[in-house]
Amino acid sequence: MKKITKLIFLFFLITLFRPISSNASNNEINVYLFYGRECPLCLELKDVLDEIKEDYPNLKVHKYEVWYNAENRNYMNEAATILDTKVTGVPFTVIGTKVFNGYSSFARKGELKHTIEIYSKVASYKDPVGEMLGVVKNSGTLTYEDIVKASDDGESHIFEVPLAGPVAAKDLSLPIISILIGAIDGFNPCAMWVLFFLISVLIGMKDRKKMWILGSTFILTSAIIYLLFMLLWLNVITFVGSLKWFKILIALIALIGGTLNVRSFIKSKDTGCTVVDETKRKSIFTKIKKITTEKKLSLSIIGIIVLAVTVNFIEVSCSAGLPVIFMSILSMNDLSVLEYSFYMFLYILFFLIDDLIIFIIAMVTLKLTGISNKYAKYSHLIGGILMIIIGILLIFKPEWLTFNF
Amino acid sequence: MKIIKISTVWCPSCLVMNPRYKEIKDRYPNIEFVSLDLDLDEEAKEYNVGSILPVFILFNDEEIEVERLIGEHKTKELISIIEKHL
Repeated sequence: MKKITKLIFLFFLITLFRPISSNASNNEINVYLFYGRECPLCLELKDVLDEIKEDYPNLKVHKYEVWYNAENRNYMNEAATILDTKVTGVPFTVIGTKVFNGYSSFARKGELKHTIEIYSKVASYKDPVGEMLGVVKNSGTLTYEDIVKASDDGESHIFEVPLAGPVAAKDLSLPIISILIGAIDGFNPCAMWVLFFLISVLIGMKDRKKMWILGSTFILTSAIIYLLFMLLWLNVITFVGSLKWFKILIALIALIGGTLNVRSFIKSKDTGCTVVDETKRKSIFTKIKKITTEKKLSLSIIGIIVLAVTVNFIEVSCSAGLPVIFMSILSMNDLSVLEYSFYMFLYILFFLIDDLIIFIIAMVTLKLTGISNKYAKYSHLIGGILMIIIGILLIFKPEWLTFNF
Repeated sequence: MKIIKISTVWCPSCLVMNPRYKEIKDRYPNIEFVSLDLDLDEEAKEYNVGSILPVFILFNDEEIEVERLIGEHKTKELISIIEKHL
């Protein structure tokens, strides 16, 4: 019997790491890239297209240099007229009826890939520029918008939400994910004890103005540190995000982090505060006392900022990968810079919401109110389960995590 | 009987337990209650507090530890344990 169980376990391991199937279909997708020879963004876009070609072998890139070649320039202008748009600069890229004017690596790569994914869903599509260039003969009739509308899980996935009216899937799922993961991450008590101690010292100070300034500086700095960490992670994802081994790495972080979280919930018999190592505690206490008793407000503020930076580096490492997973989900969706910023702001707002509530109540009532640690415990459980689910989805059904397919 | 409570200012669970602890104190005026802060009172270290706070230690009249409660507990629970040893 033992041999069979080993074989099953081995088989499970192998299937767990089978490459995530890319859903490229066999229809040919033509991309028309109008570029300038020395244009740096054009070079970058060419690299990105080559990278995407790995996942989509049926992708054909047709390049037209327009700075030195007048004929190509005419083609570009004609393409713009056909598609009823204006050329704002190079690179000027066309796929079917979808136009990309210029290129910013930050968000467009997701959009490009997503457009190719959309066109991969149909056998043929309307390609007026291809016809004009003689690349294709009588192409299909479906425009980009048609395909998105027709595809059962496309942007046309509209929910009827009371009061808010019709809301597209993307507009509903990502905010909920941001709030959910942000709030769960926020309940992580790793650095909470420092805030509590700071507030208890601030309350003792009896100088209201200084209390508000130092307390809000601490919370604001924490938000900025977390934002920087998320941006750092987003940049990593932008470069290696589409590589398969990276997706599996994120899935592993999610699965391991999730298991650790669930385990810590099961193992924690008593609901209480975890006592941080004494030397670390003492060093932070002396820092806080020194900062708050500092005569010059400006020096106090600098001291608080430095304290918040050090403390939040502890927090970032101890939050078991939730922000990493969140950023990975964001990057799988086709978002503009504005949307990225909005969801990250939402995440951080709910990440800090418990700190904000505690701080404001303390400042108003001059009393420190505690939140039971059972919520932190359950956040480990819920966060853990959520991470395990996301980990499994990242491996088996990554497309479920893109909400505007 | 004597009850020693060991907590800290930065521990939310300790703050949650404070009102419950006060309720018990008012309910049993002839029990001796001692509050120690793990950071400020050296004496607190003699009771080898584990990794979770707050900690409630019950001593009988012969100053022998008879019960130890760790973390957050409902007032009813505290009362039933005290009653058991009264």
